[in-house]
Amino acid sequence: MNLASKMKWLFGKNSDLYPANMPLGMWFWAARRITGVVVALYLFAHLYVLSTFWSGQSAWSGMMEVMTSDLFVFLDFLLLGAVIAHAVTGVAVICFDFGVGIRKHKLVYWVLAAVGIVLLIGAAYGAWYLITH
Amino acid sequence: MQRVTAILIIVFLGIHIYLTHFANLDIDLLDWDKVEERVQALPILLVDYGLLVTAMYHGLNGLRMVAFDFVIARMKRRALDVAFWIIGIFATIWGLAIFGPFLGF
Repeated sequence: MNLASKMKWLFGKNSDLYPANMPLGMWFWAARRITGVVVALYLFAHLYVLSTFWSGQSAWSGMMEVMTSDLFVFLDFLLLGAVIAHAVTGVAVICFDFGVGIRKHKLVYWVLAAVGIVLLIGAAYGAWYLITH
Repeated sequence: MQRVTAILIIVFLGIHIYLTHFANLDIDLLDWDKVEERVQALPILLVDYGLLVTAMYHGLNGLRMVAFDFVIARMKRRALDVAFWIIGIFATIWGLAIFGPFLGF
């Protein structure tokens, strides 16, 4: 199979991954998977930044000046958004594992999406406050 | 285990993000002295180290599950397992040692 037909098979109109064909649960699955990889890779970036502790106080202050710049606060907000998306979708999985809402998948999804949006608004407020003060 | 660590991470990460970013938006919580203060408080240190271990396990196991969707051959999966374990142990030691300057080692 060549690449074009493989892509068509994976993402074309008749595929499961074509957006219009994706049921609600699949959006949750896709969101969890993509944000999971992003957050796992962030873990190593986090360790790298914190390693500045070893270079002493002034090196840390220099690093923090970069990390508290508006750009990085915004990136932190995006990261927090990814974490929140990953967390609420993960909570849905755990709920279903324990049989909670097993006959009401859509309700559980929408309730958790609402919780995620509320948390995201809190995160946005924090980020906005840090950028404007 | 992925479920168990997920619940632990929700608790640990909630505390971690609150203390490092949201506890007081008007002062710089990431100031060297503030970090030192937090790290030297045993409960907070335990939360951070707990978060390190659980997040590392959960993250690498998650990457492993994604990788296993693409890698089927048994020996290749075995090689991936070995690689993830080496990365995990190395990165956990790295993380444990990060607070060295505050804890005197």
